[in-house]
Amino acid sequence: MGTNDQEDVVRRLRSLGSRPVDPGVADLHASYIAAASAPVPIRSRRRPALVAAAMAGVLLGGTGLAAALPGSLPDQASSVAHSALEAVNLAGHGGGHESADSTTSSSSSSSSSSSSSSSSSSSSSTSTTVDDGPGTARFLTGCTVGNPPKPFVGNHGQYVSAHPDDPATADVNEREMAAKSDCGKPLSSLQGSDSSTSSTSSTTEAEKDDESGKPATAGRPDSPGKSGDHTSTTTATGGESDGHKPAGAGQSSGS
Amino acid sequence: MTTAEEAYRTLAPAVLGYLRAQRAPEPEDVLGEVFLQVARDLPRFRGDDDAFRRWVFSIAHNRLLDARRRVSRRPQLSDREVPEAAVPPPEDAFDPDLVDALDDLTPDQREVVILRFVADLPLADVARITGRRVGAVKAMQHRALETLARVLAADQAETIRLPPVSSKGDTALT
Repeated sequence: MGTNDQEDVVRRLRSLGSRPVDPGVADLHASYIAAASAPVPIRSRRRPALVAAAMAGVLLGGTGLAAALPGSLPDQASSVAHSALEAVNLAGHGGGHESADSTTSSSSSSSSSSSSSSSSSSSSSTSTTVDDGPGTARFLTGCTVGNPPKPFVGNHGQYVSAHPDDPATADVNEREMAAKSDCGKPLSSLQGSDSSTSSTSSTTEAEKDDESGKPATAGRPDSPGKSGDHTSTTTATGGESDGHKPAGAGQSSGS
Repeated sequence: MTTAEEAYRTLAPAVLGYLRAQRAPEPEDVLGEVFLQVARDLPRFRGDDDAFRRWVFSIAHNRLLDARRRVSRRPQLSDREVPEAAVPPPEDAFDPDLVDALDDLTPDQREVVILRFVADLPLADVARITGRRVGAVKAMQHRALETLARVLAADQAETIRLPPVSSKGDTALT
């Protein structure tokens, strides 16, 4: 078997690999290849945009619900948001009724702060600030804890616990005074004795002082000190109507 | 090699020749499968032109094995009518004597000689694709070429020795 024969075989073998593909078949394959070599599938390209849109929706929805909390929505929308939040055990500012009350009390207190002390007193009687806290609306007007006093938020038991009997003032039982107060009690429980409670709260603190023989500020945390300064009580109440600012924050408006 | 289309234009004839020489079932379909995979995997390929050619024929080799496996699992029905072909059978355009002669080789020799000369791959690449050493591939190639040359020479001699087939008209005349 000569080399020439092998060279001829190699030449014939090489020619097998140089025949062109049938044009019809080549066109068909070209279409397959074009489809398969598309740069990026549309689905995977859209996926990040969809995720971003979903996240934006969640953020906007959350912000909208949060905006409904302070009553920035119209009454009807706010009440809808309130009922929706109640379903998930979150309390908002309620519907238009409570926000209207709060507005009234705020306006009356602001007018009282600009008027004389006598009108402040009447303002204090009507400014039953309602803190809607989580769950139940409670009486928190003028309720403070700590030294310096800070606005109290919580239930009655917490309020009493926050007022231990101070051994330095042996003649005053702070805890007992706190227990007697309405701070932290649900408003619904005060409704029955509304007239008495309201009158009690609306009566001047000086009368209370007379009854107990103790300074009004001893158990009433609506004044920064225990001096029984009536002016400071009024100003503290006016300060609370601004929201949850410390009592000192409202004092500037009263003075 | 930048695109799959360019790869097809350059390498499809060699791949189709490889598949036909290996007697792949439905070689055009297998060719399509090969370049479909090339198109899908091209973004992940790294290497020069030689490496690319070796990569494409590795795919062709694997797709050929798959096609053979498919056929062995699903034997075709013998009583089925063969549809009329739109184009003439491509085997006519090929070298039928050479393809028949390839059947006389062992499967390993056939694989080596087709990859080496039809696919036009260097010995080292053939060794990598077939999983053998270069020396073994070289020896196989040598024996395969010898066998092919002998078989083809014998066929040619037989063709020369055979008397021409006479037609009916000729018989009637005589």
